[in-house]
Amino acid sequence: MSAVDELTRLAHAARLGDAAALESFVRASYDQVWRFCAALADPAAADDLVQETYARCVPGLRQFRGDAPALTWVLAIARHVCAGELRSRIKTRNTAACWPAEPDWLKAPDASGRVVVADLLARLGPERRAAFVLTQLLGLRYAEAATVCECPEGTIRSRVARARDDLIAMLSASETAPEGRRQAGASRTR
Amino acid sequence: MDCDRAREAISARIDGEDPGLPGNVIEAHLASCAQCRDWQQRAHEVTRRARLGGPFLERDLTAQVLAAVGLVGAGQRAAGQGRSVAQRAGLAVIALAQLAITVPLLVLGHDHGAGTHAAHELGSFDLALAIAFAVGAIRPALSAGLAWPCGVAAAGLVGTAIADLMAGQTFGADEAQHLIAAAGAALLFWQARTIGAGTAGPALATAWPGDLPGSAPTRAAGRAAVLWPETPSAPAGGGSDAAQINSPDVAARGGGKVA
Repeated sequence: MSAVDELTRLAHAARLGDAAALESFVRASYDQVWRFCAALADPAAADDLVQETYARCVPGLRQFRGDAPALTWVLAIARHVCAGELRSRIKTRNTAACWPAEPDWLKAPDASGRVVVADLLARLGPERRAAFVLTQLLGLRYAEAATVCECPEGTIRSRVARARDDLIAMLSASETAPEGRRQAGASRTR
Repeated sequence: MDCDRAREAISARIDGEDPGLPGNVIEAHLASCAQCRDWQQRAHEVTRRARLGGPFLERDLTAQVLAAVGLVGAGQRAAGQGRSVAQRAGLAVIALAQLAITVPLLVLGHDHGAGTHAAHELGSFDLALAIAFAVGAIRPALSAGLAWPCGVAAAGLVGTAIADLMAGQTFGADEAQHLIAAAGAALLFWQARTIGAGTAGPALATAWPGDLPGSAPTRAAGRAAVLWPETPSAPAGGGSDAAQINSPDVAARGGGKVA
């Protein structure tokens, strides 16, 4: 049985009141949900966001019908939780938390020249980041990612392509001369 | 052809998804466009590096999550238990009261407006109500099924009592006893809805957050479903999307991609 089907089976068992299945369900899905929340918001906030996600999942399991795999269902809830977090950050003018700090390679010429692409993910727009993280890091199909993001599959396809485009542009900026790097970084954070 | 459109197709092909364009069209564009060939290389590289990187979980918080979730469930279960005890006690009292009504009718054959046999028939139905209330007190899970016939009977008794009182056919004191049946039926409905909202599972709480995807109709639907449950549909029956997502080879490909 594939990992996705197993999770759905656990969700159904947990729905009927099986406490052990509920625990297994949380353990099995925790890593994926954490990585998704860490990518959508930031790793420091991920712990709390994941807690909030599961706190909503558990009562919601009663209504879980299994039309979609359990993982996409949990991730959809996580997406709503993270979106709420980002909205509240914007509302409280906590803009420093919305955009991550400039990575070191933008501030000064970096002798080693190694750029961690994962850091760049945080600089993507939220929808492109969600689509990219779901399909590339979590290994979801476009159709499943479309269910999580509640948009058509074609939208996912275009967001993933645009995300790749942005990442390629950021990587090329890191390979240019220091002045070019500073300019690229400055324009990105505005 | 527009390079943006081509790159979207190239990106989809990297993921093994439907590119939306025929393969030969994409190949023809790549053959003629050096920038897109370069883009394809870079897209592969960026994808590989992103998949290797990404935020990782450093420690396992599952235990804390379950503890938090369990506390949520226990707190709401405690609140619910007081209510369910009250419901069952109420039903027990009403069952006894209803039984008391039954005695003169069934055992003694006395009724004001009817002969002995009619009194026996009435008594039988009143006895059925009394037993239904008692069962509701003993086995709350059966409330949903019991609520309907008791509700109809109580409505009939009270409705006809009102009509007949107004027409002067009967006396208030006699008909007041039907309020007992009405109260019992109401308790059964209430108990059924309460049970619909909660479950036997230790960690499954009764609250429902408002902003889950598509959740707005489902809370009321969940409670109503106990009183009017749908027959469960065949699994994997619904829609092409579900079939696509649930098919084992698709899921296996999705699971294998990260590795």
